Amino acid sequence: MLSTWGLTKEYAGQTVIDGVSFELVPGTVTALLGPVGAGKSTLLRMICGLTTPTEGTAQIGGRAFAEWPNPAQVAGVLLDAVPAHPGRTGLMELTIAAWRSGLPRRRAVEAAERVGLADVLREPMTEYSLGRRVRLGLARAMLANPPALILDNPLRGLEPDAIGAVRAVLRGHAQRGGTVLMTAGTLTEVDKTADRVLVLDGGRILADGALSYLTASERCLVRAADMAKLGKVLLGAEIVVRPGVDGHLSAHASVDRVSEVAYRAGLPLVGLRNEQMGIDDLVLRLTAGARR
Amino acid sequence: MNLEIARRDPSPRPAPSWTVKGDRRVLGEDLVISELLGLVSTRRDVWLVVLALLTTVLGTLVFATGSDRMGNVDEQTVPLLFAIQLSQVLVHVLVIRMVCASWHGPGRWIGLVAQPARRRTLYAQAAVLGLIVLTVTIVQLGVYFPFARAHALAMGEPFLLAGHFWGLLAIQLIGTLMLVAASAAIALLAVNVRGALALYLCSVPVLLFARQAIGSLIGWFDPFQPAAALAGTGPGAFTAIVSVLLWAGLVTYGVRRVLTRDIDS
Repeated sequence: MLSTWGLTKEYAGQTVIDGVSFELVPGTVTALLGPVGAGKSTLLRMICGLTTPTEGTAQIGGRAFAEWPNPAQVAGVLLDAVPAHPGRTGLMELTIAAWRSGLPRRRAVEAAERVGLADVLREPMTEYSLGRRVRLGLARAMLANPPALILDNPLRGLEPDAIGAVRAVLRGHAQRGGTVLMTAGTLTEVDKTADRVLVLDGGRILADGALSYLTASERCLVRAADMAKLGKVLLGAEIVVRPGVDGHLSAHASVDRVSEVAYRAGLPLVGLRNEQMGIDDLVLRLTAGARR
Repeated sequence: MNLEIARRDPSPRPAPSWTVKGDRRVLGEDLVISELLGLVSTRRDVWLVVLALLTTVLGTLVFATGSDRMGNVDEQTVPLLFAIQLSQVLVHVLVIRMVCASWHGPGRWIGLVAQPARRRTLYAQAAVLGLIVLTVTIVQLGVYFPFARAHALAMGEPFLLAGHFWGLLAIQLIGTLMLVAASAAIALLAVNVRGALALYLCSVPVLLFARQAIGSLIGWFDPFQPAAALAGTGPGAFTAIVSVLLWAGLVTYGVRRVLTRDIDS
């Protein structure tokens, strides 16, 4: 549905996107994950034809985005949730977008209903929270009910309930056979949303896979009622430990190994799970791997 | 038998409906309507449009009735020239805001992803600018003619412009068109709406007074020069031609710039 081949962008001799290739299939949500300055937004702009690649191509539905006479029918795009015309009502914003894409005006209301904004559609966008603005942007992107959605940071800065609402919209779109490509700066934005993660840094894709696979570490987080005894038992079994998050110990061993050691010592555990890496750790590990 | 036919000549799979819809171009009228809606999309926008019309009408009224010499055709024409140059300023502000919002505003990507063929967006904007030129021409001449006539008659002079309607229409159309084109050129070349407004206010209205004070050299840069030349009050045809070429060149350069520029952020 959406593919890139060797996408490259250079600005003044500096490569900001370096030979990025991937292919997205219908029915999936894919997240482009990476730190600030990794090139995520530039990549999306190249896919949407706003920025001309130095090399390579991107296609949606078999041709370049800009080659579709009416691309809103093929891919909905949300690049920035900050309203360009804050005094406009949500209804006016969607109505203008509908005219621009040759759609009947009733689509504006339908799209707003789909993202739960129908009640506030006649209010000016200045009164919208960030969550509402993002949902309005999603409504605009989904006006023509296109098969693909391309979204830049749709979950950034949202309240938990807004994250839940946007996540439901994206998952629902994928379940209906749609393809979603979104960017994210943190793992929590991607968790429970994306089926697949492309880790981008320095303009290159460092990793590609399911989030749980990419962030699995060789450590686990363990907690017991008697934390002092837990520390002694683990050290006694030659397992290196360090303080973990939320009162856990981070043990350099598998869940099975830690469970077995605690069981043999007769120590009841109240918490035991794999430790997931943060985005910085993940990028650091991937970058180090790439250098090796 | 049927199976055999199907094997030999399988019907092509019907294309998904989105490919068919994606292949249909949006009508030019729809793009023009979206641009027109953008002009009145907020209360402030509506107020600006109303104010632009009001100032055009009031400015024309003031110039039509303010002259103390209406004895010949030239003296009856000159107030219209001032009216065109000075009472359309808010109309030009509207033009600058519309063009800047599409090409330099923070939400410019919204229009460009909906209509990546940038040339079509430019055509739609050109159509809107044409409508603005026509509206302003009709309003301004519609106000100027009856009030200038009443003023001339009140001064005991015959109204001489009745026999020069087409000439006045040409002056009005060319003057308005050149000023709107200059505003659009400035908007295309500026980096944002504030910069464009500052550039416009520091150039087009100032050129009017500079031309009066300094003369022909300034006329080359004055977009109103062709209309002034047509009215017989400018420095001459050569200056008018230079002015047309200069502003046409600036519009062309601005268009080329927005057609090819990367939208980075």
